[in-house]
Amino acid sequence: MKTISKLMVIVLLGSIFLFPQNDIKFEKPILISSAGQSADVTLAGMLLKKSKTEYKALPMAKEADLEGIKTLIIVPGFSSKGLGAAGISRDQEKARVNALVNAAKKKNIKILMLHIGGTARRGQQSDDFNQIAAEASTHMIVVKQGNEDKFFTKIASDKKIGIKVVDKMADAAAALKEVF
Amino acid sequence: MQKHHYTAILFLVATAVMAFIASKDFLKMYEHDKVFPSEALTKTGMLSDYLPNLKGSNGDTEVYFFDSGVQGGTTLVLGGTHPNEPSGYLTAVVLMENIKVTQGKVIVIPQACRSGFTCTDPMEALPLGYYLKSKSGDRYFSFGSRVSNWLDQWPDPEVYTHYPSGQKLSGFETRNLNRAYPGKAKGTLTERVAYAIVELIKKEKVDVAFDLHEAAPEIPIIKAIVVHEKAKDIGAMAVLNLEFEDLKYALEISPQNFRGLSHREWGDSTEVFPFLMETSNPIQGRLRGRTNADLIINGVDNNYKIALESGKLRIEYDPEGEPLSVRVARHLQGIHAVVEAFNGFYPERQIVYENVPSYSDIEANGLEVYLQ
Amino acid sequence: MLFWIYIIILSILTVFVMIELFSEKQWKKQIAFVMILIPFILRILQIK
Repeated sequence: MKTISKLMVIVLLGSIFLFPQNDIKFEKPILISSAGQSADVTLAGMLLKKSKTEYKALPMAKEADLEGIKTLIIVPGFSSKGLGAAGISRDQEKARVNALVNAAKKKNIKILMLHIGGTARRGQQSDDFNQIAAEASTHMIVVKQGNEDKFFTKIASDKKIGIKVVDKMADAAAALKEVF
Repeated sequence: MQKHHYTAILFLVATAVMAFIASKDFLKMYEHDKVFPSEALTKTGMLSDYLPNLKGSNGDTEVYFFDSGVQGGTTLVLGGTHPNEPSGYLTAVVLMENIKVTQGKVIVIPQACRSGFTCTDPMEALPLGYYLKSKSGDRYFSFGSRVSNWLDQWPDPEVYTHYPSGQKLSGFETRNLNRAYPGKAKGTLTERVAYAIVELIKKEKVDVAFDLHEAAPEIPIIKAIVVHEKAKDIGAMAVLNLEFEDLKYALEISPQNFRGLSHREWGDSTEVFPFLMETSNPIQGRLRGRTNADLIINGVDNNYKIALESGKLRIEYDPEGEPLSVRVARHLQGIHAVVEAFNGFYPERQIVYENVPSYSDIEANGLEVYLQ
Repeated sequence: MLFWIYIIILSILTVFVMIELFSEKQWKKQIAFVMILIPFILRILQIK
């Protein structure tokens, strides 16, 4: 009996690590930033507004901007116009994103990845940023069209990260409300 | 006279005949397409009303006003900035032939780059125009060049220096209206057209302005709305609302260091919220095969299909094609969504119109029902 | 000014092509001169 009880405890504890938490909760204050400088950051802000969730948006956020933040929402997606608007190169943007997510992890700030651009924010140029953001995250919300090849599902499975796939960008508002 | 003199004379006569026949087609491009503005039309002006030195030139073009007489905001819809992008021109035509404005004012310029409609780009084998069915039978619409006619503005410099930023681009861009803003009152023809449009925006106190475009299927900004940073919240709201209607648009922010474009310069030099919208146009594609009116209207290209089937195509391409009717429908729905979003943010400056077909209207009924 | 210089150069070239057309004895080569003449004439007349 004692052995069975011990086994049950081990299995229950083990399931926490084997199966990602889909009932994860994030805390405020929230900082939204971009990985790739697409305008999806603005769309993400609109989604949070729709779900009446307060946030601060800084597409070019750096480590210092994480002060007092409990959740970092990363919105990945490459835009040449966005990089041009920000006046930086692709390599500089990758360096900034890597530094930001590493700093967030060091400060125990949870990272939520929000991919809402669909196929327009996938492909060779975007996937570098998608990978960085996905692998660094604690949870992902992804629009179905951007995950047709299961790119994000595979990362979620390999890294044991929770993932919520929604049909349309507009559905992401409800998914965001669920986790805050 | 020897035998070769007779053949030379014969060939000269043949030259004259061929030149005459070719001339007829080229001169036909200077004729204006017939348009039938709706009953809501309150005034027809000319662009030279805003810059008199355009009068009598090929840069002058019609400006159509639909004023409800009820206090509200003003929107400007610009088609034909690039005459080789037919959905922009046709969207403006469908809008002005159906619209009924109940609050505020709508201004439409269907052929912003009038000079570009008088020629086509060399070495592209482009058609001079195309026919569409309408309520009044077959209607002819001109197809043109991306840039002003070089008969109107010559020569191109080696390097085009944008006024006033000093930005340097290829000399060819000197005739591109969407690289000429904010324009120059005594500049080249294209710069003067750009200047007149900006003057119109200022004098008419335009709140929301649209510049309608198309791009090759391989260009990343197709199916996109490009906004000046001050308009990004309106753009974002519009894109979200379009999603509810199952219409996917990417939102792009205008780069501050790329000068001369409408979405940059209109926003920088006036109070207007500028929006540039793009649809996908296979006749501009580099992979395209047979280049003819059918490709404009049906948007189906076999070469793209072959590329898609090979698995080597790295872009989104619908094998059913991108018909002109769908591209016009996207633009019309996009305009509506942006105007609605603007009305939400600025309720004291509402722009309200009706009777313009929605995306689903055109999907169900086709385009011809909405062309007079 | 530059425009008129261009038209004058083009007109002179057109005359030269016509002289060559009449000098050339082979009709097949005369066709080549004719092909050049058409765009030259249309450009001088400012039609294309």
